[in-house]
Amino acid sequence: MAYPKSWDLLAASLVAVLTAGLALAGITNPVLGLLMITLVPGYALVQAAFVGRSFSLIEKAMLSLGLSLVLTVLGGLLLNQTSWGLQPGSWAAWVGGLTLVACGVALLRREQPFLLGSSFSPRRFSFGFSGGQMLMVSLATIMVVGAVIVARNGAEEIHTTVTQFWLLPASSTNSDSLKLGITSTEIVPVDYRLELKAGDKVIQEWPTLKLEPNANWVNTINLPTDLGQGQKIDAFLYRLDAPNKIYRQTTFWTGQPVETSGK
Amino acid sequence: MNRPLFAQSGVLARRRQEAVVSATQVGGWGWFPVLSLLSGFGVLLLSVAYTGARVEQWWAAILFWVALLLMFVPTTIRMTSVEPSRKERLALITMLGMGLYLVKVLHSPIGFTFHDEFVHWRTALDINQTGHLFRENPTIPVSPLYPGLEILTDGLAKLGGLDIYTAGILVLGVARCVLVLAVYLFIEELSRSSRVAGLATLLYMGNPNFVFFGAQFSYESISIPLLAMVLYLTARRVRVHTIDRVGLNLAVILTIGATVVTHHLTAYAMTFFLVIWFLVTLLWNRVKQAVSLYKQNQNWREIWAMTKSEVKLYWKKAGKPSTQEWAAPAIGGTMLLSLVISLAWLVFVASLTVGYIAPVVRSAVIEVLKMIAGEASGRQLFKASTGQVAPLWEQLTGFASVGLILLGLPFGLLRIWRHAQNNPLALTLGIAALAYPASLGMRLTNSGWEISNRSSEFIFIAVSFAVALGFTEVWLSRKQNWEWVAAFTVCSSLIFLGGIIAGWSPYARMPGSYLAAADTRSIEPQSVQAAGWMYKELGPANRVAADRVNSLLMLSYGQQRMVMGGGDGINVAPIFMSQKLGGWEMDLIQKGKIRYAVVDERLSRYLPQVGIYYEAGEPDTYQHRTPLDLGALQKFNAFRGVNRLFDSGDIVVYDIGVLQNGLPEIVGFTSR
Repeated sequence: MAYPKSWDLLAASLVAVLTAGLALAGITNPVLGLLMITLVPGYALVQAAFVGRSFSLIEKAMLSLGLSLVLTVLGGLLLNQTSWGLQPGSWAAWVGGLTLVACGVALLRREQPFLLGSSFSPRRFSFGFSGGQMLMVSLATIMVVGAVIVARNGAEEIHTTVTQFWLLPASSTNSDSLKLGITSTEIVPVDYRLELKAGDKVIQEWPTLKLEPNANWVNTINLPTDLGQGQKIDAFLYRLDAPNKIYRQTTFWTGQPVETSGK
Repeated sequence: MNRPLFAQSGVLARRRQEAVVSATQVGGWGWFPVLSLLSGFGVLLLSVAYTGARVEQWWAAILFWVALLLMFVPTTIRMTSVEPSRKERLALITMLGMGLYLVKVLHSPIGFTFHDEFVHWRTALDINQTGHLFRENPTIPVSPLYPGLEILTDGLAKLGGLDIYTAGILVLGVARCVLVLAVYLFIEELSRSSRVAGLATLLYMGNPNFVFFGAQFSYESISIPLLAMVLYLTARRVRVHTIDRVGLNLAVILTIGATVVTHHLTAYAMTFFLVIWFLVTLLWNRVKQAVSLYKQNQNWREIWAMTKSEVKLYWKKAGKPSTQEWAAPAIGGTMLLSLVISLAWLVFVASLTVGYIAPVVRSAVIEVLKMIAGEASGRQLFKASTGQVAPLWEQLTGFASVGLILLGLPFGLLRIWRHAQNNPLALTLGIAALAYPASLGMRLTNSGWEISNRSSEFIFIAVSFAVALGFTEVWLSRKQNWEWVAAFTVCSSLIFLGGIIAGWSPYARMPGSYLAAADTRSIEPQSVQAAGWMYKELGPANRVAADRVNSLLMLSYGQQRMVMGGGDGINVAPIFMSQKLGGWEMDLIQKGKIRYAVVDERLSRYLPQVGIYYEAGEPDTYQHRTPLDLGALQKFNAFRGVNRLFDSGDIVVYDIGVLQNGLPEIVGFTSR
């Protein structure tokens, strides 16, 4: 099959248009994103800027990657000056537009850019590896992928048994009701006992709370109306397998709002 | 200018030999496929080692070093040979560079865990959420002012639909690829030898920051590759006389701009190097002529008059690119550009940088001077602030690494002096390499260690060139036999391993069980979940005080506004370390408008691995001999109005908003 001499620029333009179109439609793709941030704009610029024979293929490859990073960094600074800032759409417009302009310049600077070239040959894309060599490189790649999987699994499987216990006012303006919460990331189901006290007086008690691993328990309780301002409320959490030892404890003084908006 | 660098040396003859060998296998991959298999196996072993380390297996550390050597040694052996084609060398060096990048990626494969990563992650999160740059970051206030890394990450995250971590490691992987190729091409451009370039790049990977620090999610990891690109492009630009020069000019301008906005120290190192390069290019031949004339007629006036007329003639010719004198204006232009952009960015955008860097440099200089005067004892090498001493073999390897570089440098410098006097870039690199021995002295101080360590990434470009040249000329120029290859491989491996030992603390090299104030080893689910709870239940941007590690987590996972020395000039350590809240502590709380205090009670059980629990400047900085007092950490429980909102066993979150109104009444507390 014959192909245009500038098929590379057409492919780069296509990737740019596709990425921009998808981004504007709210669709993202990791491969297209990676290409558009780390390769394609730089490649287009290299093709536009270096039409002579000064650079070898590997030099152009390095410059394509490097200049893509450079153009993205500088593009980020420019986008920051706009009212919409760094958003998927503006990013797509920047890297896509840059690529199309650079491809256009490259086409203008190339001699006979639309001349049909020779047929595609599989060898062009085999990188010159023999069958055995390709097998070895493929095996090496598989081992690296395996290494990543092993490392990720190893990191994810580390368990730390944590029971989070918290006590907050139910709303930031009203401390007449409190929100109590337990999150368990223990390895096994755990039975708890929860006790809420105002001074020495037990306001409410939950004799048995069973939480499965990664389970939450949240409860909102209204405080007795006879409690005055500045009253100390203690919440004690016990494990039933060690019933006399306080496992977690929280304290809240009535009459105080808690900031939840960030200041 | 398109002439060999070492025309008078034996390198030329050997280069012909290399060319002949390479020509017989143009495009040949040689041993690359086999070595990729070994390297892949090394990466797999490394992953197993890390997994073993997470569950405290004794063999993990041994496997770690074996895996690294399996990646490094076979490639080194092959690179010493004259046989590999340029393509094979490039493939090998890129493979090794990327393999060593995976050492860091596999260390933390599901999230950031290094200290600086959390700071840059927060900056990236801010950009990601607001769509705008330059948001405040109290931990390292200058970080948002150099947003190159975060911009790239944001672009990929938004266009690729990726999270910040995944986008970050992909961007850094590409940058690592650029770094390795740019260093190789730069040295090759200079030496015109793919063998010297390959060996120099290999030795560059022995710099103490290559494997861990330079691969983390931090601005240097992007700026150093950009710096290498600037050097390569500038060196290439001097030689190119074609229609590509305009393109090269554009590439140089853009890359300098991107470097300056990415990292302060890299921008200054780049400018400094270009200044020296320019001066050497401009003055070196004139100095040589003047010395020669002086030797002939001993008349300085005559020499001065001749030099002046020469300089005038030089500037007249300067605009003509066909003359050999074109180099100086080209480099001068690049230097001026770098200088102007760096200064403009510093003055108009990042003026905070002075206040950030100056104290570190000042305290390093003071420490060095005190050490010289005998008023202070220096930092003990291979000894952690907890008192732990590195194993003997690590100490020996570390010293051997430095010793071998110091041994190799004179050979390389001598070669440059004898055979490259007409090459200003080679001379400039020779001068830059001399900074290495000077930087070693700074390693003996606490503040200077950081400067010395960070500068290694820059200095090693020059050091690796000089040492590779020395090795190639003196050792490998002899008839190749296995003894020489083995000796070179052992030396290179020692430099490589010594770099890792010197650059990264033993406890931080591998994952493992929790250690207190140990940055990467202190990142564990309990603290992470506490920060997540804070964000979910209390919202972002609350003013919070915490220890060093929980500050990082609250800053990033919790997106809180941490109160600390960097952003507020308030060192919160006394608030936690004091037995009671006195006037000084209350003043800190009120000035910092601190609403929440996060207490990690584990700090009362362990010594801090990094030498500090909160911030440098706290009592017993780098000299803690006992853990913190539990009573001091729990004192908030005793105050009326202080809410103990959250308890996860070791982490307790207090609402201390009531302290803004003064010290409240002390009440009782039922301790668990």
